[in-house]
Amino acid sequence: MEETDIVEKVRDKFVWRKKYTLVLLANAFYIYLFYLLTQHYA
Amino acid sequence: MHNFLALSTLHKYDWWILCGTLIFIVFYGVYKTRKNKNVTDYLKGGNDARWWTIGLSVMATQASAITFLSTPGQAFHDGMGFVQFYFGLPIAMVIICLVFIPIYHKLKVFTAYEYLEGRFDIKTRTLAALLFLTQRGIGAGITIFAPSIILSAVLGWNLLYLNIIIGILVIIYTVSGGTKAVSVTQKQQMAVIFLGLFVTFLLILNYLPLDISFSKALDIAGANDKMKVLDFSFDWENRYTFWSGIIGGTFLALSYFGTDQSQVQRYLSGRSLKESQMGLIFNGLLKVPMQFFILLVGVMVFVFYQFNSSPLHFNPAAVNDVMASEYAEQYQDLETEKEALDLQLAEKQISYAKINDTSEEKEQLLEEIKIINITKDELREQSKELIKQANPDAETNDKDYVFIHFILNQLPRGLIGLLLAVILSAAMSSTASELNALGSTTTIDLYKRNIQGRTEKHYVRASKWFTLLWGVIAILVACIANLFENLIELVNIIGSIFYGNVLGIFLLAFFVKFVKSKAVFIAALITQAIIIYVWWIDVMPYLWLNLVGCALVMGIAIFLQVFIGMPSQKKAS
Repeated sequence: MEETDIVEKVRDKFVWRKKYTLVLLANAFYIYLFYLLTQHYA
Repeated sequence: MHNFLALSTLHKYDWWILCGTLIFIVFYGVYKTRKNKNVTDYLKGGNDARWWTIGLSVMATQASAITFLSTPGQAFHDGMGFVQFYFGLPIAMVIICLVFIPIYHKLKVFTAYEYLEGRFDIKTRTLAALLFLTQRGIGAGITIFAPSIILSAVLGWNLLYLNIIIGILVIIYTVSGGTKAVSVTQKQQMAVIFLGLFVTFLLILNYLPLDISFSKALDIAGANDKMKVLDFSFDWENRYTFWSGIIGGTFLALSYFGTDQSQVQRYLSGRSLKESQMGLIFNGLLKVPMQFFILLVGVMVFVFYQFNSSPLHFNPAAVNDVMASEYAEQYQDLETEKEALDLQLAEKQISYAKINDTSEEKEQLLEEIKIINITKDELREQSKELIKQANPDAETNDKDYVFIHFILNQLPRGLIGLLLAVILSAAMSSTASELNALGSTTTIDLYKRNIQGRTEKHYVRASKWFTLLWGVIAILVACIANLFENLIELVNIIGSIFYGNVLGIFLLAFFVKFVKSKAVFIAALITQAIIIYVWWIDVMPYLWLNLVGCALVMGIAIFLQVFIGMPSQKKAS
């Protein structure tokens, strides 16, 4: 079936882009900053 | 007379700015989209949206008026911890960019549920569409009602008229211009929202005593436990911890951004796959800092009230109830006691801010400040008890009223109008996306699926009528919402009850090829019954229902397929 083929093609060929790494790193960086902030005012 | 009623009549400058901003946005939306011709133009905005339009549109859809009213109040009372709720969002954005968007784009679907028919069957598609229409139909009404009830309480405006006016303004450009009107107006609305918040933040800093720099303001907030951002405890009772944010938040964001048509429609309007993905990446990068900033505004309001007198209770309707009762005298006594504490507190805070070293005197002052703030909190609790005694039905949670009280009583003329425009713009931007998605889902998944072979013009006209119909339903829900207690929370709960199930169906469709339609449909029905029961017996905070619902539907469907070997309905038939 066409739709199943498309889903499989997408699933078999995940394209990881640099911007995804950037978002996850940014999120980790925000959490680290919040950790420092929490520690500083504890 | 309580001071928050003193500004119940707006100055003409505020009216001009408020009405001018809202009317400009409505006409801009109608004007920019007057050339819509076919279904793709109307429901996907002609597929020409750039990534920044998509990103702002996604953010504007999620940020409703209650975000700007409640969030600063949340920080005022409980500090910055609420930001943890958003830690899972960037993770969800990456998963959606990686899996959901490529599939939707390649299949060229108009709605997320359209895909489910190809993968499973029409029953599953219709079930998912109906679950969405039910929860989002109520949600759209509450999006209008939530700011209306607060603004009517503090400004004395008529609640019914306010509901109708907000609803009609949104209907005008959403029905007229469809998806493109929603996204072009959301850009203006986000500009108004950011401008209003930045100016307010700077003004609060300016209103603090000369000795109090931003760094000292943070010190004061930190000394009163408002800067505790992270909580790594495994406390099941605590709704906002690092773990609930990163796990529960990821599942909630996956369900909301990946399967809720009010969000899916925003990125389906992208010019290309990359533009849609970039729009969500933009959201993933900015959402956490944006929420942090809104909470910081609330914390600065807290610092402001360390030097200025604040009301004992921020909800004027509740105060009116108690002042009209036999408990008025007791309430006034509490207020007098609090005002004396306010004066002491301001003096101690100024002395505390002047000391730079870590002397014993500073520690002593800090201890005294903490005691005064704790005593004030106790007085606030006592005032709530009096309000409850005066009117058992009164809403004693006044978090939603803190920021609006500050706006109306402290901001200069003109800026009050701008901030009211911020609140109403946020209400309109969320409602517009919701009506747009409700109209599209009704047209594509129910109407067009069953009545085929008509012209493009016919389906565009049908979409407009359905959007109008949902607009009227939203206004009606907003008008009767006052009859229900805690309806706002109820809508979030309804969302969590259905979201996990729908997300599970989509994950099965994407990743578990051997599971067929009948197993999924039965698993979805069983899961829904179990989740409603789990919610009913109240064994876990409702945010976790998203994760449990998702896991259950996937587990049951796989079990049915593997052990009972349910055939696909399509093949069986």
